[in-house]
Amino acid sequence: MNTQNMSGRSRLYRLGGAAALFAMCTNLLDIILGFGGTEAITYGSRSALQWFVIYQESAFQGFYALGILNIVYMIAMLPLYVALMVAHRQKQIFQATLVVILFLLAMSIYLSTNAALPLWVLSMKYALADTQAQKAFFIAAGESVLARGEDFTPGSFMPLFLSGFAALSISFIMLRGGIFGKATAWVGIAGFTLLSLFTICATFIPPLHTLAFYGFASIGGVLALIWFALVARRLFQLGKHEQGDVE
Amino acid sequence: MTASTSTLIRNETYSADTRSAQTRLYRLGGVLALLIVMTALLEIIITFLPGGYASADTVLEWFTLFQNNWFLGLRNLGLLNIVMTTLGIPMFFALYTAHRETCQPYTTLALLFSLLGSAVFFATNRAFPMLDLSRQYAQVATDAERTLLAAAGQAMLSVGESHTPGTFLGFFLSEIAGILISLVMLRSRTFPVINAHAGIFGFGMLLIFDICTSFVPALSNVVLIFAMIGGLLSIAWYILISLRLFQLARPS
Repeated sequence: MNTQNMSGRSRLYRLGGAAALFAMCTNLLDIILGFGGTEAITYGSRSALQWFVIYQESAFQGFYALGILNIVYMIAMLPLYVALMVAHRQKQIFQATLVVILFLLAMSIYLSTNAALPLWVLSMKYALADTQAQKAFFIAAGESVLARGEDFTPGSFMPLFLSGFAALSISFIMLRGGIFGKATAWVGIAGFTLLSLFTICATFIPPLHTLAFYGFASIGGVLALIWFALVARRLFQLGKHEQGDVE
Repeated sequence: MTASTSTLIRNETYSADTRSAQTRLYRLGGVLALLIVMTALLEIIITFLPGGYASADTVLEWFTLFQNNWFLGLRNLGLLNIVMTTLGIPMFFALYTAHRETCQPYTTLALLFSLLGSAVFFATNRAFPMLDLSRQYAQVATDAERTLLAAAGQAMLSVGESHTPGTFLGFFLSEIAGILISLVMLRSRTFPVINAHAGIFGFGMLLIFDICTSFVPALSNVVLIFAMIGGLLSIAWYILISLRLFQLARPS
């Protein structure tokens, strides 16, 4: 039974490592697209009609700007958090479990309120509408969806903030857990603090968006990338170690 | 009585209590799996009843459907899925308990995916808000008010109309959870191999169906075959789970 659990842990660590690399690639893509765009997106400044136009010109641009990469990133993070919880099971199981619950809460709120998919549906219906009256009510419906689920607006603040807080908390657990290096933990603490500051600024002080993007998000994003790489490497090491014990 | 004897008795009592709680949980899981099967069969029966296949495309058609037959409106927006998802939470917990000693890390991951899928499904389901809006729509007097309510209804539908991109994530996560727990079953051998295969193929086919209906509507009719086979396999999966959980609940 113990051997089975060890073998299960070994596979979970490897899955967690792969998930960390996947999350890193998603973040990297997010950064490249963010810098590569011809204009910085100030969230909350576009109307539903403008979003419909964006979707009709390039569905990917619409999905990207409304957070589809965040959805992919969050789904990849779930196995990573479970792997980190299992890695800290001996000394900090309660704290790590609490972080997983926090992340689960953030993820469920984010996935159920995100505007990317509903707005895509509405943009298609808008394109097919014949009369001005029909168009007007698709726009009204779009505004309602945006108010609840556009990234970096007050409607979506809680899940993004909770997700950042969960990442920050797991970095603090790493700092005390002795399983991951202190450097890994500090990179995580610095990176996710900066990203959380960006979330707060972008959400509540829109004029500071560009400044926060280049000041906090770019540095925080790079640190987060390093954190993912370090965590992936350590999880692969732990997986190998457990596998060795089984054999 | 020495301290060690007292500890021993306490441990035995604790162990007996845990076993008894496990037995009750397995029995509950078995009953709930059967109730899920019955709900799924009810869904199929309703589809074949007169008007059971009636659906709506526009928001006004949805309001009319709710006004003509509120039950059918609720059912077409996922009422029975709400029932099955609710019953599935404790059932999944019973599966988690059955596997936690042999394959804890992955069964925990499957449980988390299942809970997440349920939470997203509940949060995006719009059956009851649409019922409320349809009642308001029937009562208002002016065209302006009607337009306002229709827009609100359209916003609801963009998030919560079944088998559209709006509801995709809830179904996707639940199906991933079903595949994951079936893979755990396959490895741990606490459940029969056929049970695991039914889950892997059943939920796999339902996943393909949901991806196609949400993002490639042109294939909707073609992939109905996946929904039919996937649905039947998942019903078999629940029945086999129920039988096995009742077996596990029996005193050894």
